[in-house]
Amino acid sequence: MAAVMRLEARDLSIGYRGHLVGSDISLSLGPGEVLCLLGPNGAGKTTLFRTLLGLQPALGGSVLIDGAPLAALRPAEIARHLAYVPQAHVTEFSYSVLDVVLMGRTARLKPFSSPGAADERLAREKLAGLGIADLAAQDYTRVSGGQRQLALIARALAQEAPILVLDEPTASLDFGNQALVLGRIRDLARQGFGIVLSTHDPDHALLVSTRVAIIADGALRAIGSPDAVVTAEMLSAIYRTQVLVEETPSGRRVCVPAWEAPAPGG
Amino acid sequence: MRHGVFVLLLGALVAALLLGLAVGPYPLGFADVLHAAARAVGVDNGAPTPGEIVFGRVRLPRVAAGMLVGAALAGAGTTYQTLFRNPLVSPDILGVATGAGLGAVAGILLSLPVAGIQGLAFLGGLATVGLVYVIAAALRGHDRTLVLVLGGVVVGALAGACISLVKILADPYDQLPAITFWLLGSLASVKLADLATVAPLVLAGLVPLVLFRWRIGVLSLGDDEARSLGVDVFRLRALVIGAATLMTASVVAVSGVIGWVGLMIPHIARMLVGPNFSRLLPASMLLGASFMLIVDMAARSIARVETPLGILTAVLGAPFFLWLLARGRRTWG
Amino acid sequence: MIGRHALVLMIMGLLSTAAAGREAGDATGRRIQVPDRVERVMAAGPTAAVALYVLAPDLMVGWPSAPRLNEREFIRPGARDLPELGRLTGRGDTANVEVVLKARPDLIFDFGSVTPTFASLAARVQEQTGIPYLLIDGHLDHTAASLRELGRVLGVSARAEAVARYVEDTERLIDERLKDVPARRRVYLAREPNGLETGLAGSINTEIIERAGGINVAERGSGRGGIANVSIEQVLAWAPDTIITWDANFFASYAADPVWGAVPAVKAKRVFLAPRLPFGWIDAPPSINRVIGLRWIAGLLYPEKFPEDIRAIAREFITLFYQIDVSDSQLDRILAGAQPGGPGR
Repeated sequence: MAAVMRLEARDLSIGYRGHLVGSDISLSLGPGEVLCLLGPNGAGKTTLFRTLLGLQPALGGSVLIDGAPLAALRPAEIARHLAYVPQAHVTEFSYSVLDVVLMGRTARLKPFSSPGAADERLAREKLAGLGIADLAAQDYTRVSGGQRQLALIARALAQEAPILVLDEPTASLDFGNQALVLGRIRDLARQGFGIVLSTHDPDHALLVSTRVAIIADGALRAIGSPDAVVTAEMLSAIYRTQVLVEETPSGRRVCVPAWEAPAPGG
Repeated sequence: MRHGVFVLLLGALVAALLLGLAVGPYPLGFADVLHAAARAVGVDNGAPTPGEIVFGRVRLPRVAAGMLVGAALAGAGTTYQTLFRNPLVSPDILGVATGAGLGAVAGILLSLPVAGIQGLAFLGGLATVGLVYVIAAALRGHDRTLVLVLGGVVVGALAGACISLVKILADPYDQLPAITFWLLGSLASVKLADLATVAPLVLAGLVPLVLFRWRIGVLSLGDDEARSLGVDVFRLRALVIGAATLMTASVVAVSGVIGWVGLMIPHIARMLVGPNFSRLLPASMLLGASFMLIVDMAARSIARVETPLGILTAVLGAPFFLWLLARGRRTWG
Repeated sequence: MIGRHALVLMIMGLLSTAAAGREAGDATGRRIQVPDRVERVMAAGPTAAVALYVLAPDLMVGWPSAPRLNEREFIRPGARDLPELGRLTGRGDTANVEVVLKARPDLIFDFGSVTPTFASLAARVQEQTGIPYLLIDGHLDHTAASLRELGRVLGVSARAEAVARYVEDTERLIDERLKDVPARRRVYLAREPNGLETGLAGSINTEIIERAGGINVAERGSGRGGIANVSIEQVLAWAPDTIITWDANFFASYAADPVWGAVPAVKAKRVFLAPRLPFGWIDAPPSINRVIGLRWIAGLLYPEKFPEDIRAIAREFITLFYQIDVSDSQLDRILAGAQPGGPGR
């Protein structure tokens, strides 16, 4: 596996030219950590993501990979440290699942090279590690949403980058697939990857993260352990609706809207 | 199976090539071919017969040009379709063919010799794409691909309007028929000298496409993903557009505007070998070369006079596209 | 007792009869009222412009397209600087009707094809402007008759007679001398710098060549006559013994091309550059300017039958038709490349 790495954001201001979306954002991530960005839609999560990945420039402050500023690195170098897993989408062309995963090898290839036998072996390994080895030859556009998401995770793994950045990996997946993907994320963290993921479902944050950052109205409202940050007060404030956070018999915490309980038999 | 398709495509090309060499208005015999071959290796048989001249200086260059034009247009079309993530894109999307057309008709209007007309066509094609690129660069902050495409539509439309203006200014007896014919495409007047200029240019454009074939395929995922996978999107796209434009402008300068090839052939190739650019590019080019050979054969054989290539490709292309739409695939290839 | 209405109508009737002038029939069969005295005439297109310039240059109000720089010296001073009015012929219409009205012609006419399309165009313009618009048949065979008809309408019958007679004499001379020509020459008309555009047999672009006794190698085959593009292979297959072109670029470059060198015409040094001054000798426009082309081509193809010096004939033609005198050096320029053994070939 690649070298151990820290991803850091210092006093980051994010946004587009002439339009500030968020400011004073500082966070950091190391191996084995799962940082969850939680917040309502339109809060600036996507913009923050893109800035962390170097897909758009920061308006102020800096993003650092092991102390080195992101802005000074070329795309190939960034790709060797950070791997991006976008939301599972349908591509225009019918690539096979293996083709998709092989694209993850690009950053590891010399400029004029195409993937070889060794790259293909590695790609199949990553698919196998996620339990979808048998999908290799299938048309990526025709497998299920959950399988597509896993394929994209496999692609990110094929990059052999120590930090994974996942954008709403469970959006538009059914319950079973959500559990599947979240489970894999937990496994990867245990293997030593550093993971940043964004979600708007606080339950997911509670399930997998080691730290949670609340992003609302362009600001970093809170950052800390899930128990400390994901509270009823915080959620009610950012989602503008009454929320309860309760503990289940098995010791987990879940979030529910604060409605009256239905009368028994009613 | 992977290699089987390519063997087939190569075989088809060779067959088309042999057929193309054999078919034409001038009756050639084996003797002519043998004499021409002998002369090529230095044997001197006295003055060349007309048949030898036709084979060596007319038929052969024309057939070679046909392959070059077909391969270049198909290759450029494949590249643009991958680059713009849209299988309905033609090599003219950034206006190179229309711009070359404008250069050529301006040359005809100015009564330039053939070399001048071709030179202006080449420059016109390059200048048009250059202009589109400058416009896209000036309009920062917008989706780069979208701006390029829209810029191509606008500049292409402008060039088209200028072509119409030239048609009005042209002498209706002298120049207008020539302009019309040029805009429909033909290989009837191709010479060896033309090949000698165009082939290196097409090759020059092809080299970057082949070298970077894997990364070009990655570009088809979209700017964000490609960048995050390690591709320098901005630089690579500029290089690729430049290469594809060079290929297209150089063949259009010699053959005139031939539509549909760059649109149809990549589609068919995709159905045969899949969307992977590394395989798609060579398959497209082989198929494009064979296609152009057949079409040009028809162009010089249907009647005594030349049928413009653009008409033949449209007659074949439009029904093909209707058929594609009727199949109603969810995604392409 | 005649009512007031009827009186007014009668007076109007009398007046309009007086102003109407005479009736003329044109080639479409329409009967059109034209003024008794015609003083301002507009030519609808280049073919008509030549006919008008030849017959009655003093009646011209303008040119459909202005003469080019190198043509001006061969055009009479009075007509040289007339304004450009645009074309009304329906083939690349560029005339603005308001411009037409501003020029106040008494009469518009066109000289050429008489198809229903052109007839309806003529009727439309006449309706719009109120100016009589005549269509005269411009076919080669009809030239003399059309010239006489035009002369009558324009009031220059004497001149028209002289010109028409010249045309008839020329045609008669050619027909007579061609009677016992042993073998007809096979001619290819090379257009455009690459020489691969040609006129098909029977087309208006090459009919002069055929009328002068040449066989156009570009047989019509299927489809309409007209301009077509061919490959050099096809030219070689046709093996013409004479090539005529008016494209200076082609004329300057064909000799260096070994493929053209295989054509019998090139081998026999029988490639000629058709003169274009002041108007084309074969085409551009396809009007009565081509009459000199008849003599010229006949002389090229069958010099034994037409031994007369083309210079004298050309001078005579230019003086009669275009009413100017040309010097020897001007003739040299006109005829450059047009004579066997002369400069160029």
